[in-house]
Amino acid sequence: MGKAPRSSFGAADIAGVHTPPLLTGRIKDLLAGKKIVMTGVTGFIGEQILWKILTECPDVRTGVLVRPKGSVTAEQRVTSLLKKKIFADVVAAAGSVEALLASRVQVIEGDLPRVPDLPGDLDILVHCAGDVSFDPPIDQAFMTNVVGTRALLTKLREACSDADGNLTKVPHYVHISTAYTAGRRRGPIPEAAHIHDVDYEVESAAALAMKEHVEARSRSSEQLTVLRKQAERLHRRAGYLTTSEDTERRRTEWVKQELVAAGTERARSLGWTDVYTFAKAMGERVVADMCHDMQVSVVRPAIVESSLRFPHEGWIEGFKMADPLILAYGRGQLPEFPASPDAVIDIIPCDLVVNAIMAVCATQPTVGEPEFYHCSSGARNPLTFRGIYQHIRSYFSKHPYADGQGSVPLATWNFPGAEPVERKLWFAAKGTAIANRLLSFAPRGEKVRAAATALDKTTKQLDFLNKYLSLYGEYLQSELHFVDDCTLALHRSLDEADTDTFSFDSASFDWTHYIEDVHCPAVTNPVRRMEAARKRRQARSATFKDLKPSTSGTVLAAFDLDGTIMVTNVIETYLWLRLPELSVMERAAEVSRVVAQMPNYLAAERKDRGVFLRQVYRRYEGANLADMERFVDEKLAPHILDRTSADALRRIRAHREAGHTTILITGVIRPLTRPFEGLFDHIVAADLGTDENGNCTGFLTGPPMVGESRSAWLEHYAALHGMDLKQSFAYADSHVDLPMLRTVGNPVAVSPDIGLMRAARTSGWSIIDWPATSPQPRWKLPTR
Amino acid sequence: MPRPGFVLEVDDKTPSLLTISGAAVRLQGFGLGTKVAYPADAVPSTDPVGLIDAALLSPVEGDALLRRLGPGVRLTIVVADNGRPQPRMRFDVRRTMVERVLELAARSKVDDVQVVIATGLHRRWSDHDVTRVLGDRVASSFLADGLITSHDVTSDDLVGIGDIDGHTVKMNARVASSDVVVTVGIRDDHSLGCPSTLGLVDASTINRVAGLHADAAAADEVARLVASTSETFAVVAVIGQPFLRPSLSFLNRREWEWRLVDQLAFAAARQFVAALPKQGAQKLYASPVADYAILDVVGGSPEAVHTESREVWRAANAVEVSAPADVLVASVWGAGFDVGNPVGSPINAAHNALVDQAGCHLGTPLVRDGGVVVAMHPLLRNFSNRTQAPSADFFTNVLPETLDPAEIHDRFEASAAHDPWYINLYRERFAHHPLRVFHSWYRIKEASEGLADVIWVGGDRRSAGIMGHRAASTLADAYEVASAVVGPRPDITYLHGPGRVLGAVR
Repeated sequence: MGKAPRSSFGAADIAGVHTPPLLTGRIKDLLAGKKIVMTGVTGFIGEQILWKILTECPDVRTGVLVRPKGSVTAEQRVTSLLKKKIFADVVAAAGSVEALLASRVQVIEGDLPRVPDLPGDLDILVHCAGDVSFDPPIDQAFMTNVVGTRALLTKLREACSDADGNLTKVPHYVHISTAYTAGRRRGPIPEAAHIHDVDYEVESAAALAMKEHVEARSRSSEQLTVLRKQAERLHRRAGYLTTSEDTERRRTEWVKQELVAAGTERARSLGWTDVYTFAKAMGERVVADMCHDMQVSVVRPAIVESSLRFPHEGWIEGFKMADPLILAYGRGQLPEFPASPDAVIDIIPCDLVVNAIMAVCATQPTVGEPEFYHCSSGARNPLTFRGIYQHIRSYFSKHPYADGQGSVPLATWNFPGAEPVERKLWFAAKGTAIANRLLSFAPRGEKVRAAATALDKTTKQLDFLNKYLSLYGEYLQSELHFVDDCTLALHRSLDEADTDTFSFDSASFDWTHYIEDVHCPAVTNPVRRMEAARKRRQARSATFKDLKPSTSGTVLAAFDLDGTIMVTNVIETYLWLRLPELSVMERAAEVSRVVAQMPNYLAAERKDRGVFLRQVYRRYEGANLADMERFVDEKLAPHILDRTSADALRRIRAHREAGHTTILITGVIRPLTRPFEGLFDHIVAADLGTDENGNCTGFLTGPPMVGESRSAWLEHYAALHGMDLKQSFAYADSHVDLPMLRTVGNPVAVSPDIGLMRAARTSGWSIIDWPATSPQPRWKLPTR
Repeated sequence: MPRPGFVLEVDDKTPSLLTISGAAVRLQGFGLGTKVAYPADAVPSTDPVGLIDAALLSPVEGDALLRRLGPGVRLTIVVADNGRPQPRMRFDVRRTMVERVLELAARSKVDDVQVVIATGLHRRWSDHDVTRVLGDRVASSFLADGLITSHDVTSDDLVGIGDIDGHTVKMNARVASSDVVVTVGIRDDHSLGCPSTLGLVDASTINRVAGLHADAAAADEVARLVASTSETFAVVAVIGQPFLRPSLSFLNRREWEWRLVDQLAFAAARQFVAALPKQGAQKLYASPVADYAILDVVGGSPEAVHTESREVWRAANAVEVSAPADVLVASVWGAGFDVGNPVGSPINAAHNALVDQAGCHLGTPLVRDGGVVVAMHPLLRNFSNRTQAPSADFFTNVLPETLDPAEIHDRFEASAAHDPWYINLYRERFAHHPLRVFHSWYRIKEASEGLADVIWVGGDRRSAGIMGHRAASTLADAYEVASAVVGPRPDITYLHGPGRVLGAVR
């Protein structure tokens, strides 16, 4: 009976394993008197590094390389950073923020790759900066991570060299990379440089050239035609300018998407998960090539999340990788997850990473031999996907995300794998597309709008799921095992006095405590507060305001007629004018003629409202205009006024009382607007052309006012009369009127169709209803 | 002579009785002991020419009309209109009266004749109304030359004729400058006051005399001033109860006298409105026409004519009621007060129930002080944008703020009376004058002063609440709500529609 076969790696053979340089004293003593220059201090890890240095190492001076943002200078950015709560004690000890800046923090204004000169007295350079989004465009990723790093290292060499280029002192360069530069490998990843033969020079040149290439492709006629047709399908009736604005917006979005896709595909073709990790791996190579005569340490954290203990439990800035998914689960929007239940999700709290970086800064690596450190938890304290699911579920069971009517039951995940989840998403996407198409044909109404809102919500959720699952897809099935022996050895060499404040052993904490007591509350509480504030803001009426009296002549209120003030349409008003003078047989004939033309009219209306109006107004040929006006005054006015909404009339009169100029803009023929002449200062309507006898020719004297003509008219009118369009109001009901509504500062959608409802929702306009409360039924004809 | 009205005491042999709520008819069972007041029978009309000629020849007071006319006389015929009777007359007796007067005038060789419609705050008459009421012959001869005008209380060409308490009284220029004025009117109720007088003066006078504090003495003073401008001869036709056409024939007869035709008409009306509420009600009740029997035509000097016609109407329509009731139940029929609106708007419904029906008595109220009025009406917020825009805004903006007449008068009346849109609607679109709804409300508040509660059966709760009243779903529930005030066994009187009952309480 021999020994049982081993089932794991077994104990290490000490002599053969590489040990990193260890700590020889307290960190603050080892770093005393030194100057640490860092990049990325405005980021998550960098901010905590600065805090740790200022708090725990009083004899260390720092320099921070910060980029100015817009009109805000680097100095201002650092000042506002130091005004944050965690720096309060340090600032108080120094007296003021300016005093702190003067004594310990040197602000260096600059950018990657245009790096400024670095101070000559620096001892350690910590490079923390980089794009943290997972899907940057390929040229941006390479610019930041490869070209930027190269420029930084060049400047570092210059700062530590004399005039001839010889190094006068040996700096310690600490490069913060990511553990996932391991790419699509499997199994244990050692703390050493990755082995591959990708040439970073070639790749970065190609990546930077990609932008021009994609731009050129986006301007080709085939691509532009595709985008234009997409825009036209939505905005054609509103007008050409609206369509062209949308087309250009779609083109820039397409360029961005193509660059991201180019990056992802190139990364995958070379064995990395996405362009972020690919570019970071290229950055590591740059470091290895350029720092052969300096001290180099490379720290590779895994997934960095909120802090365990320092500066306080749950300290986090912004959302990190896992957080949108945690929130989505809590809201009930993540019914299933395509992860492998036993795959390890390598989360490491931020303060452990920062402590490790501080310890690394205090080491003295051998010149020319870069040291690699993995900051991860998977080796000795693994958390599987199933495990984190259980923790998150337990947290949300005890602290539901929403109470009362907004609460949702928590989903139970069965981890069926990636395929079933993808299939479900595909079906859901097809279903929503079909429902969308059907809704576009549905008649207007409250119920249709509610259905469209629900459909939009589902589409948004589906988009969210698709985006995140495609982004993180690789990581959900990863079998990477990050070995962190060097890091552990470094931790064990901490001085006894430092083991409390500088500990970074990833096996030292319990996942239940971290996930349920520290991380989930840190992520969900700010969001809960934000949502409560947003609900309070939404409860106030956005654009349908109470009217304040204004100086007359500065504010105008524009109203559309059909469907807004009055519930009617152009064909109905035509029949009102035409049918009463006919006998019963003639009436039937006329109605059947109109019904026969209905398919033409409906098709024309869907394409272009101006064409539709012209077709209907041809039927007025031969009618006497003066007779029509008299008929309207005597017989039709009661009908028109009865179809008008009483709420609309009240609103119009309220505008008049407040001293606003009221304008009626409509494509309806002018005689039909006669009953409203006492209400409006200005009426813009379609004028029928007449011959010398006063009979209508069937043609209009000018193009009917629809779509962009209305907005152009309003702008011209406002310019002529000195009106302030930002204070003005406009009321309309259909998508065609979007340009008119966009011209003013307070647009209101009245009983909108689905296209206008969506635009109103995204822009935050009020959506109201003006129902007609007429005692007469709708079909009643005026008597002759 | 039609059968007079009477009071029926409900016992166990009484069938279910007809109730109308807006545009919905139904047969409702009433509890034992309920007193139902039936109006006088409705009978079809007969040719009134004889009566009219008799009235013109032998007036109750003063000279006969013929003697007053002669060549060179400026004659104006004033047709008084206060929106009644509703449902409108199939053969409008005013047409015949005007034609007879014109014939007399033609015989006397009078050539300066004009017709003025005295509407007061009610809607003015369009050409269509003139043709419909006064007939084609009169319309075609007078309308073309603009010799028929509808009095406009806001017009600038009214002439001052005197003053009351320092305020000028202005009246219609044509009437003021005429030599002889013949007033043609209809009496269908027991009210005092002369509709033709108040119909010819300006808005502020009407407001002062018939507004917040209705002043009978001032009204008489105005009437005297108006009468003093010219020689006035009044002709008033006293009409009976409405006799409706065959599709609504069940409204003409008492329930136990219904024949098969009436029962079928009732069932059809009920189902039609239930199936198509808006269209059905529109078809049946939007502008119904009825036949009215002419009880008498009285002519002579205005005061005597009004007193005499009032007596005639009282004699024909008085119904003796033993004692004031604790609870008064009234059916509110939309077609009975709102033109073109088959259901009727809430404020007009309240006016009809509280002022016209419950207020139609000979001095002693029909319901005791501290009693309850139960009215049946759905109180839908159906206001015509054209004719009732001030009413709609009053209901939406003024009543939710305050119900107190004095406060309404101080805060809202002046701005509404001069609102340009309302005045535009009144002058161009033949709508009611904005002050009319305010006066309506003041009368409603006066009528409900002594009442403990007003309960609307089947009424919309919010609308009832806005008016300060209550709503109940069925009549039994209304009694339940009322029992808190009047006790579990009250005396109930039901005013059976659709005609008008004049309650003579012993």
